[in-house]
Amino acid sequence: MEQKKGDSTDNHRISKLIKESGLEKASDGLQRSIMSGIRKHEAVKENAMYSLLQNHASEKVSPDFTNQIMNKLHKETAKADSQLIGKYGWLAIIMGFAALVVLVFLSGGEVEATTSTAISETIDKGVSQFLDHITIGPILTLCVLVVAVLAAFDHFTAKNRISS
Amino acid sequence: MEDNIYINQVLDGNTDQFAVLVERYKDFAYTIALRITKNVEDAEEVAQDAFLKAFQQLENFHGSAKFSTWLYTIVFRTAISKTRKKGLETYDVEEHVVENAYYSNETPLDELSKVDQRNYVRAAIDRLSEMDGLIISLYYIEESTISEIEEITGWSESNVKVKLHRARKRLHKELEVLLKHEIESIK
Repeated sequence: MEQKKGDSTDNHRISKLIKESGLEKASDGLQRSIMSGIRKHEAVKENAMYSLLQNHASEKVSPDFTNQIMNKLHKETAKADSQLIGKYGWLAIIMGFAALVVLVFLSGGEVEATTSTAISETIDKGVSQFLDHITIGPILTLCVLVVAVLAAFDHFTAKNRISS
Repeated sequence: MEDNIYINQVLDGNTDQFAVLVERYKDFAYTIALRITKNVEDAEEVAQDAFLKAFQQLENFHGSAKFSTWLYTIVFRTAISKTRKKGLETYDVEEHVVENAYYSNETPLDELSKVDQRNYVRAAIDRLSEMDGLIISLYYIEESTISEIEEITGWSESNVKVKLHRARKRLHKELEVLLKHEIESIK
């Protein structure tokens, strides 16, 4: 019993002495050396990955890819060029016509609508008043006819111009 | 010649000059599309659509970024749109372990020809998720910077860095054998 107690006390003293002696001090350059080694290793891995992927990972598209795209582009360009009246032209024509309609309604086309008038009667009345109030002069008539002919010509000949 | 010279010629009406830009960037545009769609036919279609869109929107390219970055952004968005339409699911490769039917990490490297190595690398990239494959391709093949990857994908800088780190780690694992050989050859 006493021997065991003695052993335990000695162990305690030894362990206390070891702790008091403190840790060993590493040299100043050890941390730098370790980090440098890690960075070097990572750099080598990175270079290897880069080399492998550069040499083996890129994909190739089909040989006639460029031709296919240029053919589609030429068709699109031809279609756009073949139109006599472009989309903005058509937009201007439609807006002009809409402005004309609004002008006619505001200037003379009053639509009487009471709560008891059926919707269809109101519409009929409005349309007939609109028609009554339109006075289309000869110049305006000619303009409308010209635009209509151009539109028809543009539409029906566009396909032929693209294919030729 | 600089891209801007060809772009200006196209904008002046010389459509044929667009072919030069197509030749220059078609392979990597296709690579981006393939990484995302994981289908050869879809990837070609996406790449074609993207070039056509780029042509139509060329007047919107202001030259503040590289033409390639701008083009690849269009490719990326077109590919994402395509996969969404097809309803393709994306999944994290760590959740779905895919056994490589053709190659194992124990295949003696000397037995692998250049063609086999190429197939091995492509199969490894294919096993990554779409976004991992894309970011690896952008960083290593196209040598895009982090900010260029941000611009192409719309991800934040921190997101790009995290995704790149994870993708690298996964690919390292996939290519362990080939990488060891490559490291030896570099030394």
